[in-house]
Amino acid sequence: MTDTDSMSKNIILAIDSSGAQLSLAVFQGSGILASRSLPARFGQGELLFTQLQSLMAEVAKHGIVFSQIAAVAVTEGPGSFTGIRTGMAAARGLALALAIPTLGVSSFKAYQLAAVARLPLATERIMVVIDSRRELHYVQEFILNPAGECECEWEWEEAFLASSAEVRQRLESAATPIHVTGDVAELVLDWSPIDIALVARHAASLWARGSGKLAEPFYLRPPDLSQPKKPLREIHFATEPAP
Amino acid sequence: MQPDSPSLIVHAKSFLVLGIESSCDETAAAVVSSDKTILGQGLHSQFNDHRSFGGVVPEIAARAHLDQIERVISETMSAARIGFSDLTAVAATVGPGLIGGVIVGATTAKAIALAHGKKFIGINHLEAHALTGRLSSGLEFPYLLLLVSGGHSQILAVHGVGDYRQYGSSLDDALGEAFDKVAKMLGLGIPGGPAVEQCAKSGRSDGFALPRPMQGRAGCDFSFSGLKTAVRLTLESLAAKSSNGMISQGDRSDLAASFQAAAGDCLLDRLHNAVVRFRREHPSLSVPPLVIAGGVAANQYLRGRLESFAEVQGLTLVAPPLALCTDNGAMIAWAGIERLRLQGGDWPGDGLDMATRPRWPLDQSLDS
Repeated sequence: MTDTDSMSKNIILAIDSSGAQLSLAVFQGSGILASRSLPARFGQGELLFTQLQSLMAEVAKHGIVFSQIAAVAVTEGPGSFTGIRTGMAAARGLALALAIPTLGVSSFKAYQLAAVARLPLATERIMVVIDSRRELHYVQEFILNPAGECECEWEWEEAFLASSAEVRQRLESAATPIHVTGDVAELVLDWSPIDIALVARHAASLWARGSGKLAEPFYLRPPDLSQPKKPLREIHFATEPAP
Repeated sequence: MQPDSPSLIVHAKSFLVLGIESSCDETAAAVVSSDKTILGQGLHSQFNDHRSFGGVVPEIAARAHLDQIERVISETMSAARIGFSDLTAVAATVGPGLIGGVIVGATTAKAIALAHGKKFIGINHLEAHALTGRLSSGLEFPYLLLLVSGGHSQILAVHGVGDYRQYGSSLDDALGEAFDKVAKMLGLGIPGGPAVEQCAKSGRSDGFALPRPMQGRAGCDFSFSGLKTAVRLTLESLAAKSSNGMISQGDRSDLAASFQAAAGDCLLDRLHNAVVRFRREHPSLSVPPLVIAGGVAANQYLRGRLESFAEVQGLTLVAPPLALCTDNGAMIAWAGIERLRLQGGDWPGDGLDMATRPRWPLDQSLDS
């Protein structure tokens, strides 16, 4: 195996379009080679590929091309419905084209990573609250060890839906202070957006440990079913008489 | 190499295009070559996902496209026995349609194109339907097109790739939508088109007097809402008159047949005006082609009516095979090949920043 082959195993492309920005990063070995982050509440699909083109042009200076990427990490939501579809389809399309796996990172985890990077080490509990554009928010809590690390990686079953009032009540009744992050303005006082460099680094560490999982979009509720505006009057048909 | 082989000279530049379609409830892909060969195709119909709701639910569709698209493309490429690097371009529907699905197909296509340094071609779904007749036959421009599906009912004059003139469209429901709604009222389930057609077989088409909206009016626009309402009112009045509130199988079949006949009359009345206009605009064409496209073109009763109409009017009827009338990947790939031919070899393809468009009338250019 050549040096290039062994190094290429650690090249991770990371994509986040699950929230109010479009971010991309290329991670190799121990650090970020290049990254992009633009505000984009809508239209991530139009921005993503021109940004990715310019990102790949930048890493080409390090001799890196598409075929050397080992895995595509992507934020799985919750968040913007079309943003997640864009990010997931881009990651899966690239993975299919390059015959490499995707790596899923939940958007809860992505917010938690961003918060931990800015918080004092003593923080033990973080609550991520993500806007669902409806009354109930998406919520997940993380418990940190004394080193400020979170040992839990994938805990979908622990994510839940809660109103602002329920979140406030939980915060007030908690024995240990809980730091709130996410994108619900009325609850999050100290906002730290998803940091693509941290997502890429986290995904690379999962990849290196062999503990990553394929990206799956996050759904906490069943699909929205539009009902007919005016239900049809029920009409019954006689069954066919036996021949 | 045989230097005197004529095919090598004629097809000096051959294209191989992967087409991806995801604008409604089919996730579809196909690889088509510029010599009109479909090398491989894949299709996942979401029929069962939507069945219990009596129609396509946008959010279920958006989720299902994302679940199925990789598998459908992989199967297509395996069937075609080629790799992505063998392609000339990757084409995908970018509109019109349900945006959650369109985003999935267009984004996947852009990803494959960028990763392999191939051209990306964003296709108007309606344009793909409009050009399908040229994939399945030696059809030349110009021609008259009747596009009737679950989402669209239009009559267009097709002058060339990217050169369409809309003669008329539905002012309310698409014809396929009207079939689906009538099927639901008659308790026949989905897909409504085949169900109504089957039920109508044992019915009398003059069993009930139903209106022919727009009949006799100038222009080529359709309207099916009034016809649909008339079916509902007839059903309600039958139920009210019946001693036990039940409607007989005979009445149900008669109503299905009467609806189908009325829909056929509407189509032919509007088409008649379209043929007059098309002949006026193309006086040199002695036998103008009439091309039918869209899922409703699968209805054998309507096909029969269109065949007789074409014969009486002195038109050549071009009806692509059924699998190419309903949504499919081959028509998207073919539209991509038509665009490649039109633009020439230096064309870099559409930009990777091309936007998806939930609405995109065919006679409206990209920049408007």
